Amino acid sequence: MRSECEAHAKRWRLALPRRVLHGVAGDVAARGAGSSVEFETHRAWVPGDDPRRVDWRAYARTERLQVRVTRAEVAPALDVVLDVSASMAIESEKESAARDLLDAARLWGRASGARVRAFRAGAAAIADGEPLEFAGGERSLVPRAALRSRSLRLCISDFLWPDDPFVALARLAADATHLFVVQLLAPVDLDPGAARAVSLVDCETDARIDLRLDESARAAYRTRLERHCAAVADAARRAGASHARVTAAPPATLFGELARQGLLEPA
Amino acid sequence: MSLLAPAGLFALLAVPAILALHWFRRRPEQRRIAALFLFATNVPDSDAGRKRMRLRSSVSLVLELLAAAVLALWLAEPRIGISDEPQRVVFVLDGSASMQARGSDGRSAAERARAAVLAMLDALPDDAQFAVVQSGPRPGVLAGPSAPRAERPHDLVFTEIGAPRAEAAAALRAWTPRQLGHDLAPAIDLALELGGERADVIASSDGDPGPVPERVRVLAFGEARANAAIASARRLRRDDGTARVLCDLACFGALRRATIRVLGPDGTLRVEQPIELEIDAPRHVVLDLADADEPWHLVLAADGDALSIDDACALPVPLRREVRIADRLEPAMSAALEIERAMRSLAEVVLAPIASADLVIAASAGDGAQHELVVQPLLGESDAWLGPFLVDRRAGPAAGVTLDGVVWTAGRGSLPGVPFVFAGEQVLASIEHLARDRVRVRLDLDPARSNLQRSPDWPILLQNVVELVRAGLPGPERSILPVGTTVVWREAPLALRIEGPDGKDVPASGTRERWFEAREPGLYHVFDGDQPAGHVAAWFVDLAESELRTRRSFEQAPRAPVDEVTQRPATGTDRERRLLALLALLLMLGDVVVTRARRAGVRG
Repeated sequence: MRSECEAHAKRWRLALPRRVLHGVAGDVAARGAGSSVEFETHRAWVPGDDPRRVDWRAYARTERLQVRVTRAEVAPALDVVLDVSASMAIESEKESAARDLLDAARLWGRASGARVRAFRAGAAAIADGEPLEFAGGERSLVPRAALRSRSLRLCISDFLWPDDPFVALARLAADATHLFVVQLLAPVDLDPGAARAVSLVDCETDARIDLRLDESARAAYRTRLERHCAAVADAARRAGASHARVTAAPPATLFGELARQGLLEPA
Repeated sequence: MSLLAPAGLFALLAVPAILALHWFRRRPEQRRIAALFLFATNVPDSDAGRKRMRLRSSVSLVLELLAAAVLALWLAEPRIGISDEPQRVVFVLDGSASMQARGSDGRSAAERARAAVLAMLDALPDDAQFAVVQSGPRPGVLAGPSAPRAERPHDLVFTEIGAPRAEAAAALRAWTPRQLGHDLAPAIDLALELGGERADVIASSDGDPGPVPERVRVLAFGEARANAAIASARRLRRDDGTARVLCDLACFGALRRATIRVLGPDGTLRVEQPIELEIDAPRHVVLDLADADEPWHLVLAADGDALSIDDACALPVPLRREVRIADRLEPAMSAALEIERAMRSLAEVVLAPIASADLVIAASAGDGAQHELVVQPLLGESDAWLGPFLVDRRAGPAAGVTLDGVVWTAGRGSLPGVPFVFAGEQVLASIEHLARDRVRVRLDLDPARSNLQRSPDWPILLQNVVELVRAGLPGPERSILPVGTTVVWREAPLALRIEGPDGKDVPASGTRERWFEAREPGLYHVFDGDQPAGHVAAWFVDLAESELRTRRSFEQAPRAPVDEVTQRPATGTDRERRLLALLALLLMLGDVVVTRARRAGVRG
């Protein structure tokens, strides 16, 4: 992990949503992945119980001393799914940002005591220290290795393929405590630039199209891109995930943008 | 379709050029992106790694190729429909003998016409097709199609068998007009049929041919000239061993002095007589000379005479073709019919026994071995007819018969054969045609109560019957006949040979009955093996042809110009080129529209 990235990552932690999807209805989980205390049930007070655990509002309603019983605090799991298709390395900035996000996710998980595992989208897990190579055109986000049940999940991808991303995101969100979705785009993804005549080649399929990249063509592309990104955000919302769209940038800018969009909070 | 400018097809090189442009078109800057699908709805297939751009069968490419091909055709000036056939020219030559008349310059109209047509032949394109038709009572093809095409045996279109230029020229040089006067129309019709709708038809004559179809161009090379001609001639034997030649001369124009001569077969003079001619007045000449069993030639020589073919005629030894007649009638019947008196008025008939008779006159029909004249009233009631009589003069026996004032008493009944004399519905006379060309003439006649035998029609009727019989006798039907007609020689020997006026053998057709065409005027010698069998003379006697004062030279352009035929391709080419230019323009506009639409589709 680059020192610059580590330095900036330590300033942030994942911002868990306030509603716990898989707890008892009506209770609130703790803030922060590593300090959450989940409400279990009530029981009658017995001598020796900590008076601070007496539920006084329940006593007022029932005139019986009851104490809140919480589930034993368990270290959470964080599964990070990284899109390693060629489009994620369309520019070195984008590739660096992807690597920074993976490293930062591991750091954020371990800082909160969670067990962190990383996966290639549609492929096997990524061992610590294993070199990463961005290639191919894998469009499936769900890894071949099974994700852990009730784990927190973080998906990092550019989502630049024509299929509806909802299906993939819904599968990732299934049986997860929460899903974070980071759509990472490169500057060239936002604007391919002007050219009188250009042969555009898809970096994953090698498909080609010849056209004149004048202002009108670029505007049409941007319009389509915004429409596509909106579709990704909508798919994430429908899957119950937290979503952020960022442009590849140095860690400070990158994490700051994620925090601005609510995915991170100060540590 | 053919091309006026085939070099324009070199423009088709634009087709591979366009293909090359599409194949090796400038490779634009390549830019790898992550979201190609955001640029177009249909992303092309991958072709990465190739040195050349894959040739895509785009609409634009097809339109450009079509436009190039159409422009090449436009440059090549195509001619569609009428343009794939070479030019056709059919020359019609007036075959009448007046074309031989010499003009004031010594050249005949035929020579002028020949020179003009040869010049036109030389001026025509190499691939032109020709035919040369000679007019005449029966128009003929001198050069051109010699046989109908196998697949269209009834259609004399000479698309494939038009005469080569050399053949047409040779036919023209060998052409000699010597026909009797005739209409040019059949020859022109033949030329139009030969050439089809697109042929130039050029008729050459020596005067006004009369109305001609609007496509026909007329060239006349005649010249008004004076001419004298033999109008008729006759050779007579006299009882005193001498002979007499009677002839009539016609003078058309200012000719004064002439000489008429009788020449022997070797050209030696037998007799001559100077005569004075008078304009437009016939001149009758009598020449007496010693008879001889040899053919003669009658020759007229006049100063300033323009046409020679009508100045001579052959006089063969008159053939004696006696008809032997056997009278088998009862004496009373024969006397009533006055057979003996009637026979005295007939020429070259003799009474003969039945066995050797050619014609038998009887009261009942015989076995048909000989010609028969059957005179017998039908049994039963009879009627005396005063007329009117219906006489079919097309039948040989009735030629010249009028039956004026005749009382014809006949029985009631029907005569076998073809009737040729009627009284109302009653048939009075008929003719039967028997085997071996024999005829049987029947008369339903009661001479005791009729006056036919005392009328002028009776010897005429008998003479007609005798001539019918005579025509079937061995030898020529006629010894003197117009030039161009067919000579028929009956009962011809197997070794019959005919020698024409030029000394060459004349081909004859038939077996028992031989016939040949007397194309040349003059004397035809007929041989049975090596032995002379007789002579036949072909005369050129046609006063209309001898009249040269109406001949003239002129040129009559076709009312629907013949040149239109050669101009038509240019007109057609203009129209077709305009269409091609319009088509090319539409294709190019289509290419622009398709290209713009494709770009718009990419942007949208």
